Amino acid sequence: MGLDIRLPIGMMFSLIGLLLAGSGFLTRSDAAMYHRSLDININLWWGIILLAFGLLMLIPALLAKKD
Amino acid sequence: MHIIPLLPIAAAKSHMTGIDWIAIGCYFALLLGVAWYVVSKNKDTAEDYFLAGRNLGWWVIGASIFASNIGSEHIVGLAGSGAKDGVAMAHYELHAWCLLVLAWVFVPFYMRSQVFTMPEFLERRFSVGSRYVLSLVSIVTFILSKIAVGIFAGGVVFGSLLPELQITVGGIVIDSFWIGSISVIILTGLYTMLGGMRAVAYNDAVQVVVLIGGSALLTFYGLDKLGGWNVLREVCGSDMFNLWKPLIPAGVESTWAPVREVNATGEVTKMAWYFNNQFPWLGMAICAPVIGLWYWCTDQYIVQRALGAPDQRVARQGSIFAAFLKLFPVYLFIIPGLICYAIVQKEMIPELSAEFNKPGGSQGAFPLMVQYLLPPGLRGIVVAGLLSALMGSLAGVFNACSTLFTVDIYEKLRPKATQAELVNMGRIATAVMVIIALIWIPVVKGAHGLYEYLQSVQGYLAPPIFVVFFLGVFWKRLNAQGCFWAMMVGFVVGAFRMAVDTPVTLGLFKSYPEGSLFWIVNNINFQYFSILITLISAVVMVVVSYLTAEPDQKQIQGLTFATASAQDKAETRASWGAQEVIYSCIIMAFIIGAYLYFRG
Repeated sequence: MGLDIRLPIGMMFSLIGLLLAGSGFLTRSDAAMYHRSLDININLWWGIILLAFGLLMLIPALLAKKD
Repeated sequence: MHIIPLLPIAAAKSHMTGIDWIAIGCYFALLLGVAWYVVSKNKDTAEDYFLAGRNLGWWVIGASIFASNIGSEHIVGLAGSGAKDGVAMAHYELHAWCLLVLAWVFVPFYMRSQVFTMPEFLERRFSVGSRYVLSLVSIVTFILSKIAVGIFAGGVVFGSLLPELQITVGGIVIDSFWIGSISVIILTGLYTMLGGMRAVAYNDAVQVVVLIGGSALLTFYGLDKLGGWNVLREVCGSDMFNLWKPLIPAGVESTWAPVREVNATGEVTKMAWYFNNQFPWLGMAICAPVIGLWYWCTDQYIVQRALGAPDQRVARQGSIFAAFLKLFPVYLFIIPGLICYAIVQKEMIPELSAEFNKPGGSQGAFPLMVQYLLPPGLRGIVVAGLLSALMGSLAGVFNACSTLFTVDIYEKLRPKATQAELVNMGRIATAVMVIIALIWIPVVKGAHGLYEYLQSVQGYLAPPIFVVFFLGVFWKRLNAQGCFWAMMVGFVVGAFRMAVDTPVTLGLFKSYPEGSLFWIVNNINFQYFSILITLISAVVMVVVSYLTAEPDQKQIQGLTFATASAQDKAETRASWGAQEVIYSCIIMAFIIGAYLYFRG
């Protein structure tokens, strides 16, 4: 088949996670914005989770491709 | 001049910010990028285009089945249903057990036959004629129930998120609903045509994570805003938490005669028990399983995912994983609808209440919750997930329609067609079906609710298919003539009911003359009518089969329980695993628990 499914999925989650975590970092001092999410910087944390998930898929796929 | 405004909530202002739009834009750029990436690895055969080369892993199969099922019509429709009628429609979502039936009962037959489509399986079991009828009925069902509903739901989402959006073309004002609907169709069609089922399957796996995660956060924040689960139960009341509604509403006299009597204030005082449209438990208990088993075990749209597995074991594991995921929708999609209702009752967010209380406003419960309860950034991702869910289920339907039309109809008419020609014909057929679905949207709009409309259409068209598949697998004496006439008669009865309903739904007139046949038919609870169609189809199938010759045993070898060879049974038995049995039992326990909890 030639296509490792972990590559596109890992790419997507990594990029979306980066985007969300980045916006969370840039808006970390905006307390009013995060009042809705119980004063938790949910963009940052959810972005980190998605990024971690994405890397979990992407790194093994890239290593397998290298082999 | 305005295109018919289908959304009364279009007067409000959007709350989406720049961060949200960047998130949405990036998400869809990535989706299309994945499709392009898949194309570069793709072959040109119909099998690869339609079935991803039969090498999908169990988790991709399961996630794809779930994501294909969960479209915006679920998220929007279920939340809307929850906001209006409580957990009543949860019967249709506690169908994880139907996936277990697919996993343990039907997977062996489908994998053994190595078919592309469900009509092809029917041809092998019965006849070519049966296959054609099923293909045509399936295409009609897809257009009226899946494509039209998916487009409508997408329009509701866009209308909620971008109510101010409108464009004027040649003096005609097109509102956000239609802009959203057309945009989503184009995007979905693009990546479906480019990548086929492979791209659909891979993107489905991504959307599942986004949907479940985003919806879970929304449910969590919604409950926190409200004050907790107990507050939700107190505000909504026991009736909204009751799956087992009475056969006749309290205070109404029940009768067998086809009557509906009202008092001076317009309240119903006496009514035929089969006219009750308040989701009586009898209709739910029988009709919902019929539709569920049809959908999860015989519908091309869903089973196509399992057919992408390399063997029985992977197909079963994927189906069981899908069953596990199917436990979530009640809590992630219906409960937010109840939360929205409760927030409105407590007047906690005035702007949300203003939108909710407009006519038809409850249909927008989920996108309204996303707008008002989530912070920017995450909100954009959840909206992207919402839109991609719509695209995922639409893409699945486009692909299934392409497969059905191309393999079951066109290839039969032109057996020398090349693979490239088959793929192109599939694309053209899909485009035509989308246009028909767009024309049907006003009927969807006029129904009681989006999710109920979906179940009613499926309730009228699905029973004959359920009958021929299930009786065909379990009863080897039933033959091709029985199958053909069961589907024909059942389809005619279902189409008759839809034809009777449509003018009233469209608002052409309020009601048929009271007491007339059409009035009686129009007022029968849609689930009871669905059960009637099921019984008629079953009787026709059995009677016609026994009045004609029994089927050739060689032809049906391996295609029924009774004609499976010892080797077939051994192969199936060898594919079982202890873990699969344990997970199946856990899933059943959760389902039974839900039925016991939601009793008011």
